[in-house]
Amino acid sequence: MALKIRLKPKEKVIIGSAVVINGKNNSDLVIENNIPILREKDIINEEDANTPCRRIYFVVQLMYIDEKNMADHHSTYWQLVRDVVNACPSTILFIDQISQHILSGQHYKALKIARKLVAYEQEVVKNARSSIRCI
Amino acid sequence: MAINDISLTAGMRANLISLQGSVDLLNRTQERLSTGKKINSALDGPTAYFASQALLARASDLSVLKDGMGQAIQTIKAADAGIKGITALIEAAKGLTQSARSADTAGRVALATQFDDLLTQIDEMALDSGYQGTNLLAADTLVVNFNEDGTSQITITGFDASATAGLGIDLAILDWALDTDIDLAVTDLDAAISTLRTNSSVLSSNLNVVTNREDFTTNMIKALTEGSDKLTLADMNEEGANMLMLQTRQALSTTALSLSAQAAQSVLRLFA
Repeated sequence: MALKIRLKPKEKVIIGSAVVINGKNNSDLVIENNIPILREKDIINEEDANTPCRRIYFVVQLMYIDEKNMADHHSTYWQLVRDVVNACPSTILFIDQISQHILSGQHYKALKIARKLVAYEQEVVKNARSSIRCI
Repeated sequence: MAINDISLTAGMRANLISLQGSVDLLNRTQERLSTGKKINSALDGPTAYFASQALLARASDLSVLKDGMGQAIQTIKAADAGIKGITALIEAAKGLTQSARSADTAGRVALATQFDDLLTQIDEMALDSGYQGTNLLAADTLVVNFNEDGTSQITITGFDASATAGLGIDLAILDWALDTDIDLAVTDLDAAISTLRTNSSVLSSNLNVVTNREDFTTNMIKALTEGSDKLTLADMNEEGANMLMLQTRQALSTTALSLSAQAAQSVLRLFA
């Protein structure tokens, strides 16, 4: 299953376990086999994982690029999920999709849904903040 | 005036409607008190109700998958027990070959007969290592599904663990009259042990994969069932506030996210 990506100049990307930096021009790459590929815009650092749903995104990211410690990442994932679902039950609909993709081994799709979860969290929190201001 | 004509004044009608409204409210409160749920049927809050039912249906589908994984684990364990048993029999057979070298012709005939017996026992043990009709030591194949449409699955291939046809251990040649024939038997036995070891380690890693997925599925079923309950109790207004509280709590707690892998850390640091 080949994956095509187009890199902009100086763009960084994780391919497998390597960090690859593009040169001066646009590049078109085709990756033939099934290994983790993460573009710069899809990566968040540990310092940036500072909200509950961003932490879930971060741990799914770890599952993708660090397969060796999958069991540890799974147990962290479920701890984080339990806290988030207790706080905000409507996120279960996202968690269900993310978990299904993880179960099927498709971590890239899980990351895409996790991104939507982070956006949803922002909305929910924004509503809370604005309603507090109304008081 | 006809008996079945009841005419109400406007005032009486208003009172009657108000009374009916109070009775409805009373019934609804009693229902909530007795079930503990704010949303009991589609009429109370259709979105949350149907979402909650959908989650319970998903949890029940996953239960079926989980059962399949559980069966697979038992099948692999049965094969593993069989491999251990056969290995012990092979070790015993090797002992016989060592005794045979220092035995006389009559002794060798007796030992060769015992050797052939052990091979029969190996055959029986191989046939006996199945679970619910699937025997990984009789070259059966096991397919384990990890999602409902079967697009994510693992295939566990069995092998033939019978003594002669599968593991290549020949019967004792000419009752071990010649030392070279004893050597041939020893070579066969060593090769068989090597085959068993290779297959055993493949089965072991398959077992790991299926056990991991089974644990994950168990957690998922729990999350969906609890989530489904919570959806029916949910107050959308509280969710934002709860999320903020959780964020603060996580920021204050000293436990860091599990970053056990140095390699992953160093890779991600390059993106700071």
